Amino acid sequence: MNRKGLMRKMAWPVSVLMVILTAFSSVGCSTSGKDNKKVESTAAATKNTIPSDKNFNIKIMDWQGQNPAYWNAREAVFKDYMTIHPNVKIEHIYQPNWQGGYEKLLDTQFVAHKAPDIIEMGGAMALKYTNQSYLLGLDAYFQAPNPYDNGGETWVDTIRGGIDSFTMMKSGNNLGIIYAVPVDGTGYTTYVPFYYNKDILKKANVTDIPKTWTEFIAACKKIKDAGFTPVAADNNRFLNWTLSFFSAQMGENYLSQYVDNKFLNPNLNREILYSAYLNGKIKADEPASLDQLKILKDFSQYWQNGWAGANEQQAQQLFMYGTAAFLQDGNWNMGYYKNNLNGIDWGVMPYPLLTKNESKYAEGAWPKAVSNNTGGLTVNKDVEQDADKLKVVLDILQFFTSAKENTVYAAKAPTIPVNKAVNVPDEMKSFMAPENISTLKFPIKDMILLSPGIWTGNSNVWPMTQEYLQGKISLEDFTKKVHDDNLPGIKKYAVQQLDEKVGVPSQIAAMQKKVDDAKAQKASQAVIDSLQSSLDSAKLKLELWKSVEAYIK
Amino acid sequence: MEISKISANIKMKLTDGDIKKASKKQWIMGFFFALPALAFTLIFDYYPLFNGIYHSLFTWNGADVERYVGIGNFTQILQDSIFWLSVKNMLFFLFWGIALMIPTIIATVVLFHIKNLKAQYFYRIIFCLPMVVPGMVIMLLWQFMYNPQFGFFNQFLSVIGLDNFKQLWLGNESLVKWCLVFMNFPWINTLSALIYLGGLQSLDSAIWDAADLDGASPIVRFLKIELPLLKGQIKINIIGVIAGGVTGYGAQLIMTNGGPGFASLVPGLYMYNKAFGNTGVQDYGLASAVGLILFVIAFLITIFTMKFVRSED
Repeated sequence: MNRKGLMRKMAWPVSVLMVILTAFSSVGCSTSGKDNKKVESTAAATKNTIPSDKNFNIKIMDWQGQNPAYWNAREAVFKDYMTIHPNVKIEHIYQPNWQGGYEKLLDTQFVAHKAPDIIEMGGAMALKYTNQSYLLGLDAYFQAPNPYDNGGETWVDTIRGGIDSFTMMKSGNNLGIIYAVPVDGTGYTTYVPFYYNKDILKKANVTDIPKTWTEFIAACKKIKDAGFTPVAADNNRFLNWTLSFFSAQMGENYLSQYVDNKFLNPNLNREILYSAYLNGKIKADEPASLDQLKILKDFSQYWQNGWAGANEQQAQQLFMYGTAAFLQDGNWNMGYYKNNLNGIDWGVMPYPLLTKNESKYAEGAWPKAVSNNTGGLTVNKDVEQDADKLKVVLDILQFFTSAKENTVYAAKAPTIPVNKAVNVPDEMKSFMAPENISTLKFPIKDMILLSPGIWTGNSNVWPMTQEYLQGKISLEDFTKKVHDDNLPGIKKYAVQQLDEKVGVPSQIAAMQKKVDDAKAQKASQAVIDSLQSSLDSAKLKLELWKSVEAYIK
Repeated sequence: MEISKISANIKMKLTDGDIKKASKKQWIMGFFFALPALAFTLIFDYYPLFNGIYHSLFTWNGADVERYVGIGNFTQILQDSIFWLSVKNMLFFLFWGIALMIPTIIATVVLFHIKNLKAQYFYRIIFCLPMVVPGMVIMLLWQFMYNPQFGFFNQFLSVIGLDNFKQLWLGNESLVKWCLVFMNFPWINTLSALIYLGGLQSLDSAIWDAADLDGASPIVRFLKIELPLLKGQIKINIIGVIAGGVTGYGAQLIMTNGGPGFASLVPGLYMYNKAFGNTGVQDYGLASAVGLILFVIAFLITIFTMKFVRSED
């Protein structure tokens, strides 16, 4: 047989082999949560007694290694847990979160079913993996008491803000479930204030810590005139934060002009904005949005030169070297500053309050919750395969959020305790909305013109904002450009939401099944009510989308 | 016994059938040795490629949302003025990427002509040393040097009394692209240099002897002999520069994130932002479509460039 003949003869087994190899690789690459959609048990353990005759190795992954104060505080809690449960070994894994490396690792770990048992996640990350069915729904477990707290309350009721603090989490994901245990008070209670350099304020003759925005801008002017940089800014995170905190203080019930009363629900904030975008009610010259942007532009004159080329680390350096007077940052970095801000006398002041001086839409008040719990410690759904291990994992989380451990943790990190029975450390109070003026129920909350684009993946929004702030384009051109640029993405998203297979209808079907299962398994009324409220919310969402279906074409 | 006689003896003992059998066996063995490489190439190179092409026709978040949109993604990209702005920026970087191949060629030719072997070895080491420093470290160092408040450049200008010339560097829309080009100073690419050096070393030394006899100056020698004879190697490196220039975005991602505004945004980063970007929304379908467009652009530019750089091999 000549070579050609042999080649022909060999061709089919080789092809078969290649097809098999390719098929195996594609299976490996495409295995998603779809295959793992086991109906989760809604029968919660009433009291998590963990097996003592078995050894457990529990992996907990977070990114806190870059933040020694947080890392050590968590280590202390885990050590306490292992002391009372010697058969449990907790492996605390640090995975840096730089340039999305954390998420990229998780992508592959989840596909290979090798992800850790407990994983810390931010809101967007957790939402993604919940929608892909990689995370365990915790609703039922939250309705059982926390065995480490003696008050007899359900676990969820021991959390600061209770079930209300989870509304955004539940309404945001496709399954309407609670998928994370908050551990740092972030979300429901926390906001991001300004760290300030006392020496610079003194040299610039700023005698009182500014409380209102007017006072804050006056202080910035004095600091600038004295030859210092008032604010250390960066080109991404800072813009997002600052605009969010304007929006949280503006326009109580402003969104009611866009939709019927039945849709006026803070859980539907996003859908309200999308629908108003689609039916043309939100225009480029949206008055409240123009106010938000004008305030931001005015503020930007006090940011360091070259801020548009600076990332968050560079902004941080500017403050830490004593060059800038103010830096907006969260409580999670306080421990770091305590250890590293040597030779600088610094403090933390609450985010200034916007008044009618700045905008007629400013309310001079804060909402009860600036934000809501959207992230925290999540549980890998694979853990469900091992009932005993699941008990241990839940037990660790309950231990973590118990009043006793939360007291230790909140003081060491330092952070805002998530357990409502634990007093907030004094140094954390600047990171919370002041109770006496936290009266808003339904403010704008989001950046009317910008947020819908960001939510639907328009990565051009922030660069365009930079161009506007740097005077490259006028406010009119900027808003028109953003409005036009956001619309295709929102339309695309709307089509997706109305899609029977992947949109809200399929979510409703999944939620309905959960409710039916819970009823069939005779779950507690609290569990059924929780699932039912998610289902009702999804139905309302669908109705809202359908009301603007005609505008999508 | 002479070797020819031995081989004749062996031939006599082997029948035609034996030879065929042996060669068939060898062929099968060879095929199986090559099979793993072939399989992995197909799985890890071609499968993602075709998967990308397939998914460019979908709205796809990499997991649960997969909806056929036809050429919708391509239409969206081609109608996006920001994409075309990024292409314009990319062409700027590409032009300078190609133009700044020259220092490497000159440096290699100079290195080749250093007669002292020890000195040549020393310079070769100097050329190769940057290759072992991770690119990320170099980028972060440059980022720090460009820092307007604490960076080397502004500090240096201050020290020599030229405060008026201090710049915002990466924070300045007009300067940022030049800063990124300057970042590779002195623009000597180690890998390319080794390719050129290999090319020069494989040439017959009689060529230079003849040039010496003709009294050719170093510049004439460079332009008339060395440059034309290195066309094959230049071609290889140009393809690399074009592919890297059209699809690359590492420096922009690390140094500027495409900013300020869109001043340093390139299509590769535009694609990255769609897939993993700053909004938390992942649209792999759209990103795949951008990738495919970039492939076509790189392919066309390569063909166009190759028309001008003809080599004999």
